[in-house]
Amino acid sequence: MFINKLRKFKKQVHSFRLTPNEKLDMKNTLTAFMKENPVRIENESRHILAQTGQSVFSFLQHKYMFASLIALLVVSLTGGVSYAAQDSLPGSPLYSIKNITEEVRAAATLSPKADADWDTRRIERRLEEANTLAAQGKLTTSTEAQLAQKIQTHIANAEQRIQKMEDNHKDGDAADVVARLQASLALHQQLLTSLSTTPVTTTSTLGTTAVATSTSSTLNVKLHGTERALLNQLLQLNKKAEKIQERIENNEKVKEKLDEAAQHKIEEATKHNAEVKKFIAEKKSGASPEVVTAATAKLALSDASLSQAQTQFGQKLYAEAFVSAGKAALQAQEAKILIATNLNLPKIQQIEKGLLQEVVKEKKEEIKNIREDIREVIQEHREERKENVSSTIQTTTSTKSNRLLPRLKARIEVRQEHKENKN
Amino acid sequence: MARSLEAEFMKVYEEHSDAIFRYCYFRLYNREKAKDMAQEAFLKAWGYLKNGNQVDNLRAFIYRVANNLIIDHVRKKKETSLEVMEEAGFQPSIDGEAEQAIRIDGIFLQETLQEIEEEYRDVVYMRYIEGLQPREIAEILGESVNVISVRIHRGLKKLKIVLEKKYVHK
Repeated sequence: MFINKLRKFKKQVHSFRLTPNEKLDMKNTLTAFMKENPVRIENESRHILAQTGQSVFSFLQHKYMFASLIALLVVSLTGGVSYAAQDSLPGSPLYSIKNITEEVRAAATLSPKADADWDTRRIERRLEEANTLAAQGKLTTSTEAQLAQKIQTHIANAEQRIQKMEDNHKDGDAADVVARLQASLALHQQLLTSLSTTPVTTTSTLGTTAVATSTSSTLNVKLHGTERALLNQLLQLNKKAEKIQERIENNEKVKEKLDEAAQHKIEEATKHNAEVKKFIAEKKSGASPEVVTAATAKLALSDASLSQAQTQFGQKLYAEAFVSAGKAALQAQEAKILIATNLNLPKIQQIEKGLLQEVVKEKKEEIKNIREDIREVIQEHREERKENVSSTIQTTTSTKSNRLLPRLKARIEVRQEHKENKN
Repeated sequence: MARSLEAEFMKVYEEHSDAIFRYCYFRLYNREKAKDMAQEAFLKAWGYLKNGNQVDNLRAFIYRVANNLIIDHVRKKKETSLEVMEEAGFQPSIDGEAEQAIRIDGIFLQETLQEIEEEYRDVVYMRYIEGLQPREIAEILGESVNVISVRIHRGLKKLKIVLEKKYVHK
């Protein structure tokens, strides 16, 4: 008997424990402390290991180890998860995977040009993320700061590569990268301005317009901050572009090979133009009509610049053809960014609108049902009352008096009996 | 060898951290302090081990460190009366219904244990609640195994009386 009570008591005491979080916190502190304060004998054992020469992990010192590891990572990360992570936004669980895949890809590039191209693509990705988040009203100050920080790092990286290309006398490549950087930053700046001037257009039947305008005003403040930073960046880039352009013009070697360079540039621009056309055709349905119009206009400009480049090339104006082709590539890129960054905004608006309509429909039905219920209840109540009234009229006149009278008589009789008994 | 010591230590942590925390709690009746004390006990124990000191029974050793920490703490805070300790008593960091349940349980267990004198309470707690061997308890408290065995014997009688009373009324 006592054993049972002791067992019960023991069980009660044992149910008193650390929460999983507390336990984990403690464990983390402990492991950190253990790492900082390792056992002293460890040094000796390392020493012994060094003396014996070959270790089990010696294959890790192989000179191709890094490359094979990278290849392995690329293979393992280009699976379904990393594909799904491509469109993830800051704050989503997949976003860290997106970062890792980007890093892996950056490590796998081979030339400074490819490196710089990837850097500019990463900047574009960050800008797209910022724009999508802003469109969703989810761009918090901290995420914005994070993204801005990342953009800064990518820009710094790209600038380093540009420097490297300049050092290697690859001014053509450098000019390309700078132009692409300029394009993405300039367009982003334009987009920010348009976002901050046009209020969020979620028109709705239920007074959510007030909410929408208030969020757009807070958005404006945030966007202006980003805009200023971007403008600064752009100014610096413009200076850089001018310098490189100047160098290209003064470079004798480039001058000699100008016809080749121009031809190459035109080919590149044509290819890019075609790619963007395909991209716009694919993504058109997702973007708002205004954006599509703007993008198509830009693309038309790109087409014009391209044909101009070709005529100039025909007239042997190689330098001019080179510049025109560059312009064409830039305009095509601008068109692409326009579509890419605005893809999600109208979609979300559509979804929101659809959702709102559904909610309104549901509520209306609910109200209708409630009204019907009330009507039914009132009807029932009325009928009941009618019945009651008619029945009470009857009972009071006939049945009620019939029922009450014998009771009264009985009571009077009982009282009389009592009196008699007392007497 | 170093790696095996680390693994062994973490194993002891996984298996006995709750028990060490409880041991501290039923001496201090303050969840936060008990948590700190338990953590400190593990850190101190590692600090001792990493210097190459040998310990036969790691679990008993950590209990001993915790015991010494509690004694130091109680000595420092002697001015705190029992009432104040009871008032500060239970500060669970868990929310909601679970908190209420644990609070009631905690108070019940506290009351039950406090009915036994400290001298017997500790040994009975370690022997019958946490399942330590008499020689381990002797090591923790720095007494001889004989003394501990006698205390366990007497303490058990007291615990019996208290539990009979508590669970009859319940």
